[in-house]
Amino acid sequence: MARNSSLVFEGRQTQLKPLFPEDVTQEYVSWLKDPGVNEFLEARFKKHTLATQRAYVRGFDQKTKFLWGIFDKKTKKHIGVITLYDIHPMHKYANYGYLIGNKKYWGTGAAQEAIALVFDFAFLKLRIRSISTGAYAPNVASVFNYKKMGLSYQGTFKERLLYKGAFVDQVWYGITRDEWLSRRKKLAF
Amino acid sequence: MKSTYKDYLELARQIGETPRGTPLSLAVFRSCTLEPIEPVVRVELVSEGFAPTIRFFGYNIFEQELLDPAGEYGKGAYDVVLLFATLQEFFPELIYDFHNITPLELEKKTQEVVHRMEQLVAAARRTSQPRIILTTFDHPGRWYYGILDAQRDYSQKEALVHLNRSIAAAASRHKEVYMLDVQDIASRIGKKRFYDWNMYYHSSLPFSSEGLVEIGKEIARVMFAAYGKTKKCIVLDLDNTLWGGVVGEEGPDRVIVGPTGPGRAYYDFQLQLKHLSSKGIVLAMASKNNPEDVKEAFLKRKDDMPLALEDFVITKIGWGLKPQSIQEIAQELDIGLDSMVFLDDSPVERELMRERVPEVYTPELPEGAGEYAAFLQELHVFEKNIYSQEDLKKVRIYQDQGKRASLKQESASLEDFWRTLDMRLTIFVNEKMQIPRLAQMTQKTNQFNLTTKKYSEADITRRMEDPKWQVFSWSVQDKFGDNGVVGLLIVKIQDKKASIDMFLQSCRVIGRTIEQAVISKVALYLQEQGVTLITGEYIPTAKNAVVKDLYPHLGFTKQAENVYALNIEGALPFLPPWFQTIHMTPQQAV
Amino acid sequence: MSTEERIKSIMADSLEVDRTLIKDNASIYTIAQWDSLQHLRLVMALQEEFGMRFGDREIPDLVSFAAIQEAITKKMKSHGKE
Repeated sequence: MARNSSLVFEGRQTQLKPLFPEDVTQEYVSWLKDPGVNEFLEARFKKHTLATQRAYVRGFDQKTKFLWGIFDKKTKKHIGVITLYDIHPMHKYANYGYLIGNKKYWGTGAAQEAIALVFDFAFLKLRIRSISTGAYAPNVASVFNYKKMGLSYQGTFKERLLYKGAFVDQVWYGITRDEWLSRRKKLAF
Repeated sequence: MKSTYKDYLELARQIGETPRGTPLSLAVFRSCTLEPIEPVVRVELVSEGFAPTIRFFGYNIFEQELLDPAGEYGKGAYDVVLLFATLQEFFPELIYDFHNITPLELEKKTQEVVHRMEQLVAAARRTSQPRIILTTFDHPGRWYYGILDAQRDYSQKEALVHLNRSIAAAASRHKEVYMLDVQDIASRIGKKRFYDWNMYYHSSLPFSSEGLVEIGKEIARVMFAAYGKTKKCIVLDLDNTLWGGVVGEEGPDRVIVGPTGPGRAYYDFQLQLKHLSSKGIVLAMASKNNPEDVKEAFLKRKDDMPLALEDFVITKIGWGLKPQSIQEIAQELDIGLDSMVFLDDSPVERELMRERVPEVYTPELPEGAGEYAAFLQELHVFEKNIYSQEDLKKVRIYQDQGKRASLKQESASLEDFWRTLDMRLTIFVNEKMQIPRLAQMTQKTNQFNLTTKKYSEADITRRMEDPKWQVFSWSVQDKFGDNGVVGLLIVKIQDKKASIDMFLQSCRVIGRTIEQAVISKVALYLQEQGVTLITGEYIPTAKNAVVKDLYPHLGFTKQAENVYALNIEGALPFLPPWFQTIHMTPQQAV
Repeated sequence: MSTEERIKSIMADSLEVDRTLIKDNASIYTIAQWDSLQHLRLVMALQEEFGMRFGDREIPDLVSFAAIQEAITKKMKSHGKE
């Protein structure tokens, strides 16, 4: 797989580049093990090594399933990842997920910017019609951020996810292309 | 009047981004969400004259941030570093695994935590020398062994105490490392109110808004202690502050203070003050009284009072203005006004002090004397426990002026002050409904009393019914409340001359020009009756020195020793314009 | 102070914007600085002011003045207040 420069996106503070197995670092692996980071991630149920993570990254063909590394534009540091997957060719819906592993970048707007870059790519380039993502209901910060990006509540799967020893609701949020087009104008980036 | 989180948010907004003051940068490292505490700490610091910059570093990444030479911490130079650590992240085994862990393992882990804290301190001081604040750990839930925990050889509670002590011991080995006792705060307000499990569950913020406020204030308090911004002197009023009642009126035997009965409240308050005094806090007195009365009281009631007159390093007893007295005390002690605290039960005195000398910390006192002692304990003399609009005014004034307010003796600014009191004066003529009160006043009023005659209700009734006599009385309301009937003036009219037989006023409202207004209105009233001259006599007693020169102040001229007269054929005495309203019944308002 | 005014002044202070910017249509879409941390402060102040608790499902819904007002009024009615 060649590194496709058309899949490189630049924001104000971040740069997105498709991630390849050889780009996986120990630091990336450490994020998945960090309880502060993986609190709401599936990753916390699994064992993580360089090998397992490389295999995971290999699964993204960067044509129908995308995985970008999020980098600090200035320092070039790898601070997180963002994915676009489950893209349905007919219905043109997709899911996305992300994690900012480097906690220094929490609350800095890096996540929002990365998501906006991917949304632009998905809605404008790939002509996707709707994107959705799920969240653990107790994760109010996450849900708040979805709303801030313009996503709206789609539905709930009751008591679906295991969290801190109990089963909690999974809430789904989504956004259509039109909704994104009107929201993106008002966002700071 | 406790401050809520909302109050702090509001005050923080009003302070704005760039307050004036001593710059102070605080770096906060934390193992839980803590940002919402920022407005509380900011307001507290600004109110003590700091211009704070508060920066929160990454969530639960202590070593990373402290040790990264290219990181934000390495680049900046912070004055104070707060390492806010919680058990959940630093030593979860103590909470969740206690039943599984052996005493040996526990001790090993305890030492690891202590060592880690020491390393963090070293890391924070790699390239600069900030003051450091460490936190004690608290166990937010119930003890694993419940009620049996205390009886075990090996109890969880003790393990926690041991952990905290070890950390404090390590802290004491370093210079300028202070402890923020989170555990103590939690027990002060109660774990139920301090922690918010909901908040912790969804936002990783373990504390309730009340808990946050307490922690924020405590952080500021620790910083004040670190910076030496403690208060050094408490200036106290006497009547109704150190004892119940007015000694000049009731005499030393009748003021309320003592180890038993209702006086206990004042006794305890004095005891607290005595403790503070033995810790090095200077006590001073500013009281509107006759010095002899005060001396007598401290002598006669010395078995009932923990404090003696000698405990007060300086006493300003007289009839001058208290802001002036406090300035003098500051000068004589050679300490800054901003290291002084003023305690007075009168809201008017407090307001005047805040206005004239805003650097002095003048807190609101609790409603009842029963709460004075507790209030003082919480005050800690450098902790702001009570925040009100008054405190905000002080902060604003400090910001706006940026310099010391000096006491202006020109009457102009005092007039503004009186105007702000919103005084409403009502003068009654021959008001029979008040007879019992008026008779009582002649018995009890000693200080502001020109002739000190004692009248019975029958005496007053006779005066009211006799057309040759006029009995004037007055009541005052101000923005703090209704003072009730506060004064009495009785004149005898003969041949166009009105001689003042009785002129007294409650000491509560002395010094507000009320008597000036009364004389002016009464003079008008008498003038309309054809009176051309008012005469008055001052009969000196041990208690009424305060009115020695009242008549000359009111515009009377001296006729003989202690005998004065006022001609009212032409011009009338000055009517102060700063009263909100002045009514005279049965005549209409002016 | 009316409930509306109490809410709006708390919003202004927690979000650190001028009170005049808190119009009836104020929301996370009209106030750029309203992010998840400001939201936390806002929720704490509202809970304290109105003596009520918001659950984790309600908190992300409080993203506009209208939504906050509705949630609070409803809670007040069910507590027999107001």
